[in-house]
Formats: sequence, C-alpha cells, structure tokens
Amino acid sequence: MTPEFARGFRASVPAGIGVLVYGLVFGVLAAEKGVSAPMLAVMNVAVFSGSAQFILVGMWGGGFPAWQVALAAAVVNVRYFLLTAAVAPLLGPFGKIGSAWRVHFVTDENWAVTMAESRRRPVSGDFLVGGGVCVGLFWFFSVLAGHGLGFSITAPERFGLDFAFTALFAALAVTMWRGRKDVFPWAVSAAVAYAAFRLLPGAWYVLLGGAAGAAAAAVRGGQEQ
Amino acid sequence: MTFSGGDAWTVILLAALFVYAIRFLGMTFGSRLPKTGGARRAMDALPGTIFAALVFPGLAEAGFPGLAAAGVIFLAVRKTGSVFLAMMLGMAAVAVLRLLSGN
Repeated sequence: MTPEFARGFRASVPAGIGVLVYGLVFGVLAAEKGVSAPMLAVMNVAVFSGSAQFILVGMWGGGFPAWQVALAAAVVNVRYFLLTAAVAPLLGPFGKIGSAWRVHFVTDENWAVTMAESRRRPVSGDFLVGGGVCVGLFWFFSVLAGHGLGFSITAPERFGLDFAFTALFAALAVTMWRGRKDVFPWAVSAAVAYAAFRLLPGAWYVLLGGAAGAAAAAVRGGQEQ
Repeated sequence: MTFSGGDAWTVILLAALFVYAIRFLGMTFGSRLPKTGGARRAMDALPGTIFAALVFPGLAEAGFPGLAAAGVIFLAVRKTGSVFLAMMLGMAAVAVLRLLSGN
C-alpha cells in the first residue's frame, strides 16, 4: 500500500459516508425483491456501480430477459466511458494488465474526489484506486447490512438523507470551478441536463448534459482565439 | 415471478461484463484523445460539466430547500474547504427547511 493509496482512501471517506446511506437503502430494497445475500455480495464486487445495481434490482423479477436487464444496467452507466477516459492518463503508467484491473475501481465518487484533487496537485493512479477501495468497502458492507435489516426506512427525506448525493456532488462541484471560463459550459450543461432529466429515462441527463457543456467549451474557446 | 437461480446469476455476470466493458473502453479510447484544440478544451471542461449535469437537476427537483442548500454548500466549501462539512451542512439545511415549510 503506497502513501498515495492511503491518501486516496482517506480523501474518499466523506464520499463513502454518502455511499453508505444509499447502500443501506439499496440493501433493504434488494431484500424486498428477494435477491439473496450471496448474489448481492457478488454483485457488489463484480458490477460495483450503484446506479447499475439499482437498475438490476429494480427490474428483478419483472419477467425481462436476462440480457435486457443487464443491458439496461449498462446503458445507465454509459457515463463511465467519460469518467474512465478522463482518468486514463493516471492509469496508463501501470501498463496494460495493471490498468485493466485498476479501471474497475472507478466509481462516480472516488473519480470525483480524484479529479478535484488533481486540480490542486499532480495525482497518481494509486490515489484513485485507494478511493475506489474505500468507496467499495462502504458500499459492500452497507448493502449487506441493509439486506440484513430487512425493514423499510420510512420517510428518509425527513433527515435529508435523499439529498446526500446531491449535497456531496454540489460540494465537489464548487471545488472544481475554474472561474469565469466555466460559466458558459456549466450553464449549457445544467440546461441540457435538466431538459434530459425531465424528458428521458435513466441517467442519460448526466451524459448529455456533460457532453453538451464540454462541446460548449470547445466552441467558445475557438471563438476567443 | 423472480429469476430462477441460473437466470439470476446470468443477469449479474452479464451486467458485470457490460459495465466493465464500458470502464475499459473509456480508458482505452481516452488515451488516444487529442492533446490540443477544441477537443482538448472539451475534455478539460468535461469533469466540471459532468458535475453540473449531475447536480443541477437534483437541486432543481429539491425546490427552494435544494437551492438554498446549494448556497449553504457553496459558502461552506469556500469558507472551510471541507467537502464533508459542506455536505453535512447541506443535508441539515434541507432537513430544517423542509421541517419549517411543513413538507
């Protein structure tokens, strides 16, 4: 374990606490759907994506073909293409095999923490993987704990728990702000995301909003030169 | 009906394969993306714009408490530099404002 791994692990603890809340809720839902604990354990490690797993369990027992359920879960995760593209330079130094297994540890949360950190200093891939292990442990045990609880948490919104991820991502967004040149791309991103959020199912709003904002940055920068 | 044992494992392993493929292809394709020009500016802006896309609909859907909490979170990050503290204050702000507004 390198110092960077440990730093990444520590830096992702707040994100892990956000994950924990959702993991408990997810575990409870999975128990109600009749997903067994061993299946959940394997899913937590092998799929390792909250949004994809929510889709899997949501469609569980709906009479859909296995490949359709798996594909729906994957489509919701298309944004991972952009996430792992952004951290490819961090994973490159580990070589083909070294990066092939490390990329599995990219999740929304530790990716966000790593990108925020990389704005302040050069970060190594171990920082990213340390964060992934941290988030993964929180996710694994909170899901199984929720599964074991086996009762529904009533009115989580009373405690602001449903707002945990939004609050976490909003806080990280503030740390990512690059100043005035971000005004236009972020405005485009927010507008497109909101429209897609209203009109399209699943998590397309993240992909479309992010891509539209990035395209806006490309166009705007070209005009200034 | 629920999946029978065999089908359930098939779903889990197929999903694992698909999700991993997205992660791997993103990483592989990403290393070949350009270093300068508009495409590069887009890539540099991308992490931030994904954040904006991720956060804004959630804030808007949470209504006034959500937008007020966003203000609290902004100030908390700027003043303290702590993401965790900002997150907790944001959640507390939403809970309190919902209580006050009777929702």
